[in-house]
Amino acid sequence: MLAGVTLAIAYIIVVISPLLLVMALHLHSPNELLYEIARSFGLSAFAILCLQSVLIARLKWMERPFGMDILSRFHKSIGVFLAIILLSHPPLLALGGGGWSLVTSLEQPWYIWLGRFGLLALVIHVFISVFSSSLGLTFEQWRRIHSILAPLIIVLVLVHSWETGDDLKEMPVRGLWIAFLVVFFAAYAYHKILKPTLLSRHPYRVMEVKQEVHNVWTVKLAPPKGEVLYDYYPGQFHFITFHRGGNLPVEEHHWTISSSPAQKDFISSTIKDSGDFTSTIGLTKPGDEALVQGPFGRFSYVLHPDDKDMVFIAGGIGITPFMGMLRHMRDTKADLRVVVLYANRSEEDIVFRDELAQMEAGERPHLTVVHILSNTETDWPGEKGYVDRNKIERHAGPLDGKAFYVCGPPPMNAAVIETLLDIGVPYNQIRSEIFSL
Amino acid sequence: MRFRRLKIVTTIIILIVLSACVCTALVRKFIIPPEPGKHHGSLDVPRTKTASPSLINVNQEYHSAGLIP
Repeated sequence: MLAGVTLAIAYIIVVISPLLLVMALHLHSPNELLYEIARSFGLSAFAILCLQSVLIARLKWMERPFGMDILSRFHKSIGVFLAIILLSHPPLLALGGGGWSLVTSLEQPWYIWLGRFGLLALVIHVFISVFSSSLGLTFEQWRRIHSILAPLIIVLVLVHSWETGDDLKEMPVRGLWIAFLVVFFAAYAYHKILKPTLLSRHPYRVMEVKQEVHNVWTVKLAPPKGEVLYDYYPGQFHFITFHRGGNLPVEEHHWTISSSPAQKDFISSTIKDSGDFTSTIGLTKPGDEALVQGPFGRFSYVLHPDDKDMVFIAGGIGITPFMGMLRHMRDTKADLRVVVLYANRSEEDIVFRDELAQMEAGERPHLTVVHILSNTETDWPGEKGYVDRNKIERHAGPLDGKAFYVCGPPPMNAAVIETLLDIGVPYNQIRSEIFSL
Repeated sequence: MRFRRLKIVTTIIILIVLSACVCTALVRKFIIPPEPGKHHGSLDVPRTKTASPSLINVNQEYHSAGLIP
């Protein structure tokens, strides 16, 4: 908690540091107020822009207090805010006495045009990021565009502000700009070049590929020779890049770790064929190499030691973090009470069915598994339909002191969380994670 | 819940940044006194056709103060 608050305060200080600096330098400005506000927007926007790469550089010390999904959401929201304040920069300058030619005229110096191109690139960048799924972009396509546009925007905005901004004629402000630039490219290089290079020197090896159901595989990975597995909490996730030879794609994706940290010989991820890259996962063979970066995330019962009575609500492949947690509870003989509400479309989609039944029959954890199928046309004797209020109330029992963990497709997560709040579960007793980063 | 907290923190950060921008603008315009060679902003954006009224006013102000010829 303290680390998170400290980082949030540090972020704010860094973002407003250009403003503090120009005030500390006693740089008076005689322009109209709107004009000045526009300039302040420009100054703090550059700081925000440079910090964007730090937020998503997968730095452990930054990820640990928040979780990758929270950092990723924050990065996205601040990106939208950034686009708004930079879009308002030219019209505010114009309204503040700069003249509308700044916005409308083609006869502008090259550095104004650089600013325009930078702004255009930023708007495209934000639009693509916010609407990537609606645009039909794959994760890899989106990431390639993101990796090219981000440094381009920084360079365009830097040169524009350096040439145009009167404040940038002051050496301390120039020094700050160079520092921001160094921070941006250091984080960018670490994330895109240095870390992948280091990982490639210590590849994991595929031990086993097991088909769980018709469209789900579990891939077991052994750590590099002579090395031990990294420590992780059950329910966390990692990034994997498979190197499988032939024409198989080499792409980095993130998957939940479905193995238990008590198991020290291997680490596994259970992967669903969801089209695009994952459709080739069944072609992965023992002996293939994999670059593994992790662990990340905060979706783990281990991080909530007061949770003794839990309800896990899973949708489809959302069972994987719960499987990691349940296996860990079993391996450590944890004296915990867990009800699993596991929703699937049909019977053949149920992953880990036998293992869940075995754990249910075991002593610890005290487990109850309720399968819910949405395909009501079958002669399934169990629960049918969706995870709704009625089913939660019937199976979860009294709500007092219970912690609810939710992991499934985003619409299901939203609906379940809304239902939980409706039936009186306090906010701080609901735990979820957004899996799409 | 983490996401609710994220929304609150993001909103607070955005409001702080916006307030800081407005405060800086106010301080620079009304509180920090003009010093010779230290006035900023009037030449920020190239005016290709005519100088803005604020620029003209500043020049007149500085001229009458004997700061520029």
